Amino acid sequence: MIQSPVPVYFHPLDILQRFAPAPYTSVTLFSSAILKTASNDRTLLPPFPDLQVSAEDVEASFNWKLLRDPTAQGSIEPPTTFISETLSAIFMGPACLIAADRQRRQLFAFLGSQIDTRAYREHILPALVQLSRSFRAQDTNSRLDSTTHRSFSPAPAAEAFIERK
Amino acid sequence: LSSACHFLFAPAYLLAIRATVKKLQMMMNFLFDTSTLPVRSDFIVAGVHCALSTNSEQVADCLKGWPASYGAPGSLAESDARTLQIDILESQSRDSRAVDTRPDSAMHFRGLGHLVFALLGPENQFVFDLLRNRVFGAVSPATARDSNFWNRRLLPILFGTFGATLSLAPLHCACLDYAGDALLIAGVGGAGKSTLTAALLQNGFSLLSDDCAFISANPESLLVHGLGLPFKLLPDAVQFFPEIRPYPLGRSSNGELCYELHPSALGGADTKFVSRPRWILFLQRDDQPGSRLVSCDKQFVHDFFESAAELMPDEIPQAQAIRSQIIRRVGDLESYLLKTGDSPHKLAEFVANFCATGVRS
Repeated sequence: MIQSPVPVYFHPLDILQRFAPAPYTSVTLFSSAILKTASNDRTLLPPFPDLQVSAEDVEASFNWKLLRDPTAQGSIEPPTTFISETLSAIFMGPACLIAADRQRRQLFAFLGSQIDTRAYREHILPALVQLSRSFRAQDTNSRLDSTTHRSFSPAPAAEAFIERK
Repeated sequence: LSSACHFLFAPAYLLAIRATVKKLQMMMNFLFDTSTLPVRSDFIVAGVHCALSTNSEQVADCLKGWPASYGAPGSLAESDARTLQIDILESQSRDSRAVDTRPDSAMHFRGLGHLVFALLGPENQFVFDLLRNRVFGAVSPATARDSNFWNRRLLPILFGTFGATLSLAPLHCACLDYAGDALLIAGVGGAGKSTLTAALLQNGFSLLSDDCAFISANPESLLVHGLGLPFKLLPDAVQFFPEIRPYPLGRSSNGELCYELHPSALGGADTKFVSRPRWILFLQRDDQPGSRLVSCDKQFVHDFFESAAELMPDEIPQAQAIRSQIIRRVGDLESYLLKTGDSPHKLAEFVANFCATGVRS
């Protein structure tokens, strides 16, 4: 049995554990963008280049909140993924729950205490990275969409130019 | 190599290649869009328009007992803010054995921000999006056809979790209807809410809910909604209600051993789904025999329900505001501390007289 470094959190009005404290934070560079991470377990902070700035001082491109859940039993199970217009989720049993809101560029995860550093680096982190890349893909698509849109409907400045002419 | 892992070799390589499956992990992907969810159904639960999209006729069948409209033709949805979109995929590749409905079988809930994970048994996974009022779920074929799962298990979870995002305030109290007016019975655990509820069912009251009432508000009035669930009695209630002894004991959603009963088990009327809240009684056990009512003020009512309300994430500030507004208005109802040392039956007679007097006046 692996001992979790994180104490069990309990609040009678927070049965979903939304407000479990996440005192460890990092601001890192990920895929040419700024990633802010908050966690209750230092070992879950992503091993990306640290920007050495305070989380309050920068606006992030993505936000991750990764919580170690000492009460979630078991190890990683075969994954099930959900993909909808706005959300992606990966279930790997109660010990690994990941969800990403691609519109809001937020990623949340609960990881059980039996998921050790190796399993985290080999299985979970790649999934987090892949989900976050989908945020960027969505960004790119929306940029492409807006570019296409502009080519058919002139921006206000261009309209003014056309009228003057 | 297994039912889900195949290698094809040209005969010449058969002797040269050896493969072993050490740990086979099957990934299951579920895409939720209009092409994968062709079956649609609309129904109303607790005044909320539920828009079901699924690939399973069986899921739609399980939920067809709910009304399809608010009553007036063409007035299906009051507004988009009170619509819950439920997207369900039945997975044929999942275990199709009989669903394990034991409440303690791998039920697991976690939430961060506006997203909630729900594992309801090993084969059923859900994500709730509280910001957009959407539910995504993948279930086994056995679950898809299990009416109890959808009506008695999932719907209470959904309405308890979404609550104020659907403009409903879930209040921890029993609720009964008496001649069109609703009585809310609140109190700390062990005060006797369940046995009083059971005894009131034998005194002309109809059941809306035995532990959670959903309150909605319009500019003129409040409404209280029930989900048509059975009521629960702990095993020791047999001393007051020996007629429940033949019924089987089961486990409730919080794991307690209890009787789950329809009101008819006590000779009561059918359940009701909506009523107008009028009275609130805060039940307190007293050492002295007899029962008495002490009027309590708005602030007490407000503080009681507000202090028991679930913490809400910052992502849904409007829901917090709606819940607080509804709780403030609940404080305007006739509210009393009910101090009692009586048995449930005697107390029920006292409460029934009180309500009958109120209705007559």
